[in-house]
Amino acid sequence: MRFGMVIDQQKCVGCSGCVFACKAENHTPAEINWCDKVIVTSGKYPDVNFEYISTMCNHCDNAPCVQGCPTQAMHKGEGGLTLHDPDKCIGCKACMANCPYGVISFNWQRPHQKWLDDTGVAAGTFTPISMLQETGGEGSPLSNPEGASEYPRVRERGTVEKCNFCVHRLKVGLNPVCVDACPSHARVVGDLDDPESEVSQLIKKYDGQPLKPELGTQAKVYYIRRYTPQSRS
Amino acid sequence: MKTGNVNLSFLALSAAGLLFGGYFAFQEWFVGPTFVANDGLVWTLPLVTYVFLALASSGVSILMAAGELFDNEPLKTHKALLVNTALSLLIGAFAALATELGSLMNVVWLIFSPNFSSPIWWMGTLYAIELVLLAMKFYSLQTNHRLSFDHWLTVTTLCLAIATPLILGSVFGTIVGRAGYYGVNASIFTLLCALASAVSLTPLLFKPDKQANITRLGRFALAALAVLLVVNYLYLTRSSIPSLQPWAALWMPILLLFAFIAYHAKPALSAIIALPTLLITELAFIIQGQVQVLGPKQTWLGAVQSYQPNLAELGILAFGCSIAYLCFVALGQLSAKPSEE
Repeated sequence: MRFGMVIDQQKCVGCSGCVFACKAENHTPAEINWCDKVIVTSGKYPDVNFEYISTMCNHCDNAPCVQGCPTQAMHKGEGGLTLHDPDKCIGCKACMANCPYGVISFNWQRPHQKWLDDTGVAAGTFTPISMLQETGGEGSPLSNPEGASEYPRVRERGTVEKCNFCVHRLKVGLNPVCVDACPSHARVVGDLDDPESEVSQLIKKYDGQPLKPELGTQAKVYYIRRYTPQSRS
Repeated sequence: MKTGNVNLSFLALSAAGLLFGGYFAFQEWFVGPTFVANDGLVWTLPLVTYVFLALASSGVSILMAAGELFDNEPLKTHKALLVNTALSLLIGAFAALATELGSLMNVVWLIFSPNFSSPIWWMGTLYAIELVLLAMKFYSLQTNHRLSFDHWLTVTTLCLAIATPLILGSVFGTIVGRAGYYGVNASIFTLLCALASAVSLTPLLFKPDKQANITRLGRFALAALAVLLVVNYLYLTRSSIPSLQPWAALWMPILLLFAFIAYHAKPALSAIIALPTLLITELAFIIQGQVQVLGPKQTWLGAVQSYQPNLAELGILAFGCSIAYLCFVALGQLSAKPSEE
């Protein structure tokens, strides 16, 4: 069993629904997106090419971040997922330097610290910390308790974090939240080892390619039907 | 101004550096981030301080151990001083690293949760062993108690002192996604930097013997490094890949060549020129691999970043160097005690 994902570039409308769903599900701080995008504009008029590429951890089989991590904080888990153990993380940032996709982020500040502020916009109004107390949230009022089974809801300052393919959802038979939140069904998740799975079929049909395949990382997020000159014809 | 073997001006400067840098170290450990590093540029001057001091320590250890093993009288005479210097530099390096990692405990924790495929784990562990070996060497020299395994201690120290700069280079050399780092040249660069730093430091420690073959050989590390930088410069100027811009400005190898030439006639001047040049060269190398932002961080930070160290990062440079100098003085005082008695 190897979890993988296919992103159909001609179905993706660039709405960032995946980005916001991920943020809500995984309680990432304001300055960190596990699910993000790269916007590429290239060429010269009239041959201009614009591409919106959704990005996330590629859960590479040959993950440079796992090889580079000195403490095994970044490790391979069940289903070939690349997971992170914040208790073992020493904040050396080797995984960030090693990741060729730039999808690992560092908690430079204590995450969600703005929610500890006790100043309201005017006297008698809610303050961030009073909202936090009212909702009983951890770190911020928006924290989602469901993810806490596999990963701390609030990560420590001085540690990295990244997409874990919503491992807490996969374990109960649900899709990663970015897959379910996509309004155009551009994302499909499944078992790459099963040739009959939808992901395997899509990769085969459209000759799906991961990002930067030349690096040999064996990334498991595949892109199909990209808006490249080759796929236009 | 000198009192005994202690230069009071340097001591005062180091104490000031310790206080100045210590403030920022405290901020990093207990309050919040003060460095200019971000998700695109993760390794900045504090890490370079570690690299500079650790490489210098390795180079001095190589001189010390090789001098002893190859029976080089000029170096053997100053063995205690070289051990003291290597040990002090390594302590300063670890202090700078602790600020980079945000906690002293993280430096220790690195060793106990090993990942054998990680060059950083090997680098950290081997430097920790090197620290222990140097401490044993220092102890045996201080107490005039020759250890039964002294020869093997020296051999192991030499092997580790050669291995550590190579592995430190491989931390960068094994990074696949950044063209500016990847390749064996990173390890060659760090080994040459280690040797060049050690050779440049020796005139500040004692009067170098022109006939000392090892010093003569080591001095060529300065020239070899200059040649490597020039070749690198010429190669990269011909590159058509935008991220591969020359990172070594031509003045760097020119100054290193000048230090090489001046080494015999004006050793102190050579050292004063070479050491800051080496620090800046290492800084340029470490920064160049990160200036091109990868992936979605480009949206946040721009495709290319520039770097200028801030006051806090300069403080950590002062912090690491001050700790190294203060340890050097303290260990020197310890060494001096038995002879005074």
